[in-house]
Amino acid sequence: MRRFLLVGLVILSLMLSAVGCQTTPAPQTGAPTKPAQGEPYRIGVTAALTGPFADTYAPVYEAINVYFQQLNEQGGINGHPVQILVEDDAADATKATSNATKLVQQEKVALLTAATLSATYGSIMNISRSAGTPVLIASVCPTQAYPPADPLVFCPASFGALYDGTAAIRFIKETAKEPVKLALVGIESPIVRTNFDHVTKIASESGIQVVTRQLMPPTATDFTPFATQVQQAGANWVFAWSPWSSQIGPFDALQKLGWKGDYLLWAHQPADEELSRRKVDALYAIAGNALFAEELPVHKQIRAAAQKYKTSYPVEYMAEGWVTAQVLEQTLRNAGWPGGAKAMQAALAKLSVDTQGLRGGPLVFTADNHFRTKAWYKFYRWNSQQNKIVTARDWVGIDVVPSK
Amino acid sequence: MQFWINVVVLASTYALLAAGYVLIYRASRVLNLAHGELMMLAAYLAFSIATVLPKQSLAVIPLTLLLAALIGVGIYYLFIRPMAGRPLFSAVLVTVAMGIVIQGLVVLVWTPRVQYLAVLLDIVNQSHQLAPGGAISTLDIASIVVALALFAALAAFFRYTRIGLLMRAAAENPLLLAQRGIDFHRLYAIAWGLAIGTAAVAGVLYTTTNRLEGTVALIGLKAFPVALVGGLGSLAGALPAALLVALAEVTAIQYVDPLLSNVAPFVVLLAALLLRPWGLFGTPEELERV
Amino acid sequence: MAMDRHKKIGQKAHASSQAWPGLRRQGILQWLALALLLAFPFIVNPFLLDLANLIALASIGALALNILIGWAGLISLGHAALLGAGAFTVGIMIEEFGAPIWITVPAAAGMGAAIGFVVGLPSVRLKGLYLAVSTLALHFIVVFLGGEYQTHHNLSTGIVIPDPALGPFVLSDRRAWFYVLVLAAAAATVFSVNLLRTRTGRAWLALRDRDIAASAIGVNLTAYKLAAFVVSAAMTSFAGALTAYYQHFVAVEAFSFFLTIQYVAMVLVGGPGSIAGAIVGAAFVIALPQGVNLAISSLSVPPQLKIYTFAVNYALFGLLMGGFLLFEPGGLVRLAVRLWGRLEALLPTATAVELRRPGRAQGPLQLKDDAMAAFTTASSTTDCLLDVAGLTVSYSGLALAVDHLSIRVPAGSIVALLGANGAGKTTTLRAISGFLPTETARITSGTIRFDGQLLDGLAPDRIARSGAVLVPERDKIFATLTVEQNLSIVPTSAPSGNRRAALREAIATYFPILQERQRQLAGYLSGGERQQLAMASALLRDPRLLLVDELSLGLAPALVQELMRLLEVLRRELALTILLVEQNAAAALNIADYAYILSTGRLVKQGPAKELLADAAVQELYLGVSASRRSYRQTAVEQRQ
Repeated sequence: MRRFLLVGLVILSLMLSAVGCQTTPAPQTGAPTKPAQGEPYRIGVTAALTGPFADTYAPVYEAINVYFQQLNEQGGINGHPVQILVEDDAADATKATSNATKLVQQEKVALLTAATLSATYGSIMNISRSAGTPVLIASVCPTQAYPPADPLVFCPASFGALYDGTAAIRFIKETAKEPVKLALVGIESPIVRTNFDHVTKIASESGIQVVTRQLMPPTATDFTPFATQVQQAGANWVFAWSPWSSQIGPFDALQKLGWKGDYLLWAHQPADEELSRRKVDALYAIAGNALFAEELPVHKQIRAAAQKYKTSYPVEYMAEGWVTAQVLEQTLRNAGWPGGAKAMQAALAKLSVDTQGLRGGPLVFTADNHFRTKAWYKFYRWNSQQNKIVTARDWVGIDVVPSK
Repeated sequence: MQFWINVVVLASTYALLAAGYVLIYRASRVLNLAHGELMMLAAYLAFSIATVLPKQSLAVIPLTLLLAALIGVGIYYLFIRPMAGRPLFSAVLVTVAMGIVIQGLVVLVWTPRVQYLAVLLDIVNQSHQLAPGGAISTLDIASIVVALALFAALAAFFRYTRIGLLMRAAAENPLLLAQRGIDFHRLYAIAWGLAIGTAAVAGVLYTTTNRLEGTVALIGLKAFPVALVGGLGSLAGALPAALLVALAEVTAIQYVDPLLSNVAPFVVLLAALLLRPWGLFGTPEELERV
Repeated sequence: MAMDRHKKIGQKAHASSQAWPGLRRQGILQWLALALLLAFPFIVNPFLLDLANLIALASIGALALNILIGWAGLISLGHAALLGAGAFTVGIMIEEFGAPIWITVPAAAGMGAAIGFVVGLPSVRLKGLYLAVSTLALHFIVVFLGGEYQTHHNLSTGIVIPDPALGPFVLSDRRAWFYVLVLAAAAATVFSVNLLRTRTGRAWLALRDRDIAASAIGVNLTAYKLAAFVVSAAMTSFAGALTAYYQHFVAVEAFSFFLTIQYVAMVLVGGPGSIAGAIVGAAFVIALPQGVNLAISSLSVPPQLKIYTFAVNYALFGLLMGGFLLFEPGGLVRLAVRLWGRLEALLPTATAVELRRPGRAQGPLQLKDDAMAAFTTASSTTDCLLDVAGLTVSYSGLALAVDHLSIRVPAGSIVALLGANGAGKTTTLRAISGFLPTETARITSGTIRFDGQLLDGLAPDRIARSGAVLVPERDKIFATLTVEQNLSIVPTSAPSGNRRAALREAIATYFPILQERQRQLAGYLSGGERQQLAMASALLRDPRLLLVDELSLGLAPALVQELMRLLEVLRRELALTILLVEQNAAAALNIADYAYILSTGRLVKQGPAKELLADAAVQELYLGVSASRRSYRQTAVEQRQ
């Protein structure tokens, strides 16, 4: 037995030391024309590249990656290339923890970016706090980024609790032609709960009745029972706010049941593609980033980059990550070289990024507001007469103020 | 009204999947815990075939079924037969390993993106009003009809065909059958083929109605209590068991707590195991064999 | 099977350690290992340290699961649930009462023990897969309850766990954690080692190897099964509690079904039943994804493909798990032993350790009786339709069921193989008809020739098709099919239509009852009718050699005589050769030409049937008394074995 323990120990240490060598970065691909030289900036990313919600989070990483590949070939930032170190957490809290530990403690990245399920945030923030490394969240914004913000938590993502709900209710009130009976649909997650509590409150203030709230298990694949509840509650409007598949799933199920009402959902990455596929006029999308249907100059830019570097997701999925990358670029520029964690944090705390039209206005962080000073929203829907996606309501800005 | 429609529709999916569990269990005494993954794999195969032959569901579906059946036969010969004479649970774990490999492969081959079979097959899932407050979609009707037809066909198969009789005999006592000079491995392989074929039917129907993505394999795991509640060796038991489990699940979602939806089948299962561990239609002897 | 493999490993390792020149080299190695262990946290980077800590944590869980799967042979799919239960106990106690670690961790272990008891309860009634399934249900229930707690207490990102404090000492540094966790893992190992030495541990092994056998030797199954669940669950929840503290948070997402599979894989990959195996398995499963990441990043794949790393990891994990199950069920430890053995053979100091084959190394019995030439070794083999020479069959590699048995069955004869219960008659018959490979027994030496051809290793269906057809002792018909269906599924292999017609006619003539009952389910037939159906089914195969196992079992004496006579008629009419295995010696000797008598696997007497029938000593010693006095219960237990 002792012999085995001994052999086991030796094997173990061999395995460990083998893994320990894994600090060499993956070489950059592509033939650079004027490549950046020298030490790179190191940015860590933990993202749900696989798992149930991958199509909301993986494209964020892809866009960031493409953005900096292009930037590195054009000379990098302050003469230094940017190295993106990515780890997949598959929306699993344990993996996110070990990813964050590895990126922060071993790889010593100056900034950690997270594009993943909100359930993993707690452990990621824990690790960032212990090392003093700022976290840039590129998925649903946690309240820690809202004023008064946690010093280390920043969120450039287009969507977050509370403000999305306020904008949605305003839109529904303006658009509805008859008295609204509203149903709220989302996955069972505290952040969704928080948002829906808020929505229920302001809805009643605006004279909108919330008739039901369906919180579904994140693993649900059959949405019929939830759709049945919505229909039987007599709802004529639905506001869905969740990862994409649990927004569109209940919509499809409602259609299946022959429900005729208006459905507003958050315009996650697949929105362009799937609004055009379904061609239903009553399906509205509330967006933080301009949809590709608009074909703005910045959209053409993204399209070119995505084609050049061959992303695995369609270009329409890239907007969210593109904005994150813009924020990262601006942060690195302002932080200068070598840009450690402290410099990053300082740069982020007074940042203003021109999103080139992807957002309704510049994205501004301040010392105590790590979310944005003004939250912008735009509304889209399918128009069957024009046979394309049209704007249902142009940019609306809501001031972000410290919560009481 | 809608409540009962939902129950029956969900039950039809469960019944289709449970049939696969029962077929495989009867044949090789193995619980195929990769059934959900194989169902998903079949759906992805249908997706790939449909990309080559868009909008020809009449060609895509039979091709998928055939391919799935071949996969089933292959699995038996490659992975299950070598486990003969080893502890039963080892064979079950082999299916678990198989399921994990399939999960990984599906992401590698088809990416984690959500896909829509209905679009590729050009199927429009229309809603039909059955009664006030009770609607059902075309594909849901198809699911119920197919489930009933499949069970009728299987019943006839086991009663009237020679292979069916041989399979029943093999389920009862494979060694005796071998004594009669019959290679029961071939029968088992056929049973696996049939089972994965039915999984493909369920997979194509379910993912056409809903979506095609990596998480649909979960429905396979949820259907597995159905097979047990009905009695692992009993096809006839699968139908009432499917209704029972679907009823429990839909009730839990609508009247208790939506988060119970994944738990409900297993709660029914636990109750069944405590009250009648051999299932609705099984016999106590079944327990001894496991 | 697995147990004696484990024993052999132990013996072999022990023997080889003695082969080393003295203990000094090992002593030095041990000190080196200890020094390496102590210095470890200071020589590796934080990430590796984290990995080592996770491995230490996982090995506690794996050791706990090994108790259930590896030792008690009970399958649990609720491992993640138990880890979760431990972690949530800690989380909830901290959230609600701010309880300190010296309360929470024992409480978590207690909670685990309680759940283990409840989960173990069904094991009183359920076995094998059904039990595994009920533990799977536990998984979903615990996950649901954890989720409920999190949602209702608005703990979005899980319950945050502060650094644990023991008096003034606060455990926050990962290096300090390393020592704590390694110590905990070592304690779990020592606990496991000692557990196996107790009466309970030995009872588990007995339980795993054979439920019925264990109960026969007086093991209280229920109590020991429950004990296994309780001990394993308490240890698992203990590991879960430590994990919660180490990870600083508890979230329900962490306890997925895949986690259970990972732990099952640790035990399987390491080597079920082996303590070292559980630890090596834990290290392997935890470090594997990191190894894959390393390989992928060193392969300079385009960053776009990074997306697929996890999928590669996942698939590879499945492949490895399946691979070990299929090709090396003894796990890494067994593999290591095998490689070590190869290595050792190359070392000059090493001495090859040959495990002595159990059993007596003596030649076949010298037979004195040569009354009938055809039955003795003098005649050539071709005269005999069936020629069994020196057949030895052992169970689980240990007990000999049949010991150097030689019997001959000339064409056209009826030969009886007699002996009391447990004499090895049925085993012999199973060896001839090719059934043994599907059981735990195997032929260790000797040959079986049928019509000059070797039968060893052929599948039962091939043997049946070659013309040696068995009428089994029990389960001889398909109870769920009708009589007609029972007959219709037999493939008729008779060469000519004439012969087939003759067979059908013979069946119709000699088994008229089957005609009457043809629509009836065979399960409702009486014992005699079943026997007739079985014989008819066998005859349809047009056998040259009919092997009849315990024709008389459970039948009235008059009926037995009638069936025996029928056999004699059939031999004449259809030119059959019959090997009759019987406990009822008198009935068999009445129709047999020649008989062999077995006792505890060995041939003790043979001779022409008439002589044996007349021999009073034979009757008393080998045939009558001892067999008839056995109680039914004893017989049943033996037959199940």
